[in-house]
Amino acid sequence: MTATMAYSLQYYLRSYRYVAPLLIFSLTLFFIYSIVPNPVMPSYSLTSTFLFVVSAWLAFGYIDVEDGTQQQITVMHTGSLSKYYYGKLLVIVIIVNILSIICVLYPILFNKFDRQPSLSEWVIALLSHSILSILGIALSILFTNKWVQKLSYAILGIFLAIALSLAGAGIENSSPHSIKALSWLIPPVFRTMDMLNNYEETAYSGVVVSLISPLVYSGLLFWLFLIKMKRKLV
Amino acid sequence: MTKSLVTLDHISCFFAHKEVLKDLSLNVHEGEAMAIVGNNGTGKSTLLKIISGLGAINGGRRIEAPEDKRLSIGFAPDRFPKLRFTATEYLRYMGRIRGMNKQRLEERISDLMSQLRLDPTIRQQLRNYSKGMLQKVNLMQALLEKPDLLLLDEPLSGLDMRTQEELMNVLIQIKRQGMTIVLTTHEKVMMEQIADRVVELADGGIASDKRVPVYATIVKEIIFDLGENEMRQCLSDGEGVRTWSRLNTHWRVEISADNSDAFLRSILQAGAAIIKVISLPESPTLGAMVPVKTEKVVVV
Repeated sequence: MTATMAYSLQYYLRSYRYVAPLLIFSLTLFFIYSIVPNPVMPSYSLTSTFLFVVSAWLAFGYIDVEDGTQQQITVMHTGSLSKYYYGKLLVIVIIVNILSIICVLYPILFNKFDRQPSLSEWVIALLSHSILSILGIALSILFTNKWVQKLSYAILGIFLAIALSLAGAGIENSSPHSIKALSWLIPPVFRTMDMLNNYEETAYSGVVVSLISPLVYSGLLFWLFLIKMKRKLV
Repeated sequence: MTKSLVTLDHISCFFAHKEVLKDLSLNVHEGEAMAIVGNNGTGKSTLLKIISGLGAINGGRRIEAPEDKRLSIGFAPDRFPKLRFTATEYLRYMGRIRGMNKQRLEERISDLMSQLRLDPTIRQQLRNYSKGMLQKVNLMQALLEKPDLLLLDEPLSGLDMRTQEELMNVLIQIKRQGMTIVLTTHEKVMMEQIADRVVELADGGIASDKRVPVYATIVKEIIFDLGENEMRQCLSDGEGVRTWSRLNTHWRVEISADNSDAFLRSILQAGAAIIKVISLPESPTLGAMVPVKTEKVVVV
C-alpha cells in the first residue's frame, strides 16, 4: 500500500491543486494569531473549525485529481479497489494531520497565547484538529465527480454541508424537542467547537462525546463512500 | 481442451439506465487471442472491463480461474492520459504498486523500452508525448509483469502507420509466446494477424463467435510505394493480409495468394507504384472463420 500512497502523493503534488487551500490556510493562521495574547482553547476552537473547512477543500481537489482512465489502470495494478482507496485516503489524512500539528504547535512555539497550555489541553487540541479535519475529508469526498457530476452542484453541496455543520448548534437549539434527536444527523463539528469554547465547564463525558461523535460520523461517511465507489469506478 | 481463465456467466450490465449487455456468457481460454468486434456502442469496452474485473455487473457472475491464485491481468485501456510523469517514473510507480521487486522491475522496464523502441533517457513528461508514444507506454504498463491475461482496448486506434506496424509486431511476438489476449478492435488487419477467435457483439449479446483456423497456403510478397492514407484504406478494405511493414521508403505486404490479385488491384487504383511481387514458400496462415462450438457454462 505504501507504493500506492507514494504514487498518489506524487500525482497530487504535481497537480498543484493544493496551492490555493494551503496558501489560504497559512495566511489565515498567521492572521488569527497576528494579535497577541490569545485565549488557549477558544483559539484552538477557531483553528480546528477553520481546518475542517480547509481539509474539505483539500480533499475535494484531491479525490478526483487522478485521470479516470489512469484510475482504472492503478486499480488494476493495486489488485483491489478497497486497497486503492485506503492508500489514497490515507495520504490526504496524513496531510491534514500535519496541518493539525502545525495549528497546535504554531501558537505555542511563537508565544501567541496568554499562557502555556497544559498537557491535557495539548492532547485535546491535537485530537480536535485531527478529528475535525478528517470529518472535513469524509464530508467532501462524497461530492466526488463520480457521484455528483456537475461541478457547480458539487461545490454548492459542499458549501451547504459546511454551513450546516457550523450552524449545527443553532439548529439544535431552535428545533422543537420532538425532533431534537435529528440534530445527530448534522455533521457534529459544532459539538467539538462548543466543547473547546467551554473547555473548563465541560464534563469529561462531554469531551469524549464531542470527540467520538465526529469520528463515528466520519467512519460512516467513509464506509458509504467505499460502498458507492465499488459501483462507480467505470 | 484448454482451460478457461475467465468465465462470464449470464452477465447483464446497465449503463445510464440502458441495458448494454444482456444475459451474455463467454469463456476466455488460456493461450487464445480473442478479438471483440462490433459497432460503436455495442458494449465492447464495457465487456473488456467486465473481463478485467473492473466493470460492475448488474446480473450474472464473473468467475476467475485458477481459483488457487490471483490471475495476473494487464490492462491497456483506450485514451491513455497525458500525465505529469516521465515514462520511466510512471512505469516504476506502476510496477511498485504491483509489488514487483526493484531489480526485476528495472530490468523489465529496460527490456520493454528497447522492445518498443522508446528512449529511457527522455526526461519529457507523458503530457508532451505523441499519441503513438503514449500508446507504447500504455502497452508497457500492461506488460510489466508478463500477465496471464492481456486486455487491450482499441490498441491501434488513431495511430500513424509506423506506430501501428511497431505495435503489431510486438503483439505478434506476444501472441507467439502464448499469452492470452483479449482485445477490442475495428482494424481488420488486427483481427487477421492476431486473433484466433472473433466475437462480434450486437444488441447487447454475442451475434457471432468464430474461430479462425490455421492452415498452409501460398503467400505472396508485394513491395510497392503508396501514400500513408491510401495504404491505411487498402489495408482496412483488403483481406488476407498476413503482415505489413516499411522496407526503407517502400511498403512490404505479405498476403495470401488467393487475395493478392484483389489487393494489387486496390493499391493500383489508389495510385501505387509496384516495385516487386514474389511468391513465398508455403507457411501456416489464417483462413476463413468457423463458428466456435458453444460451451455450456457450469457454475459450481
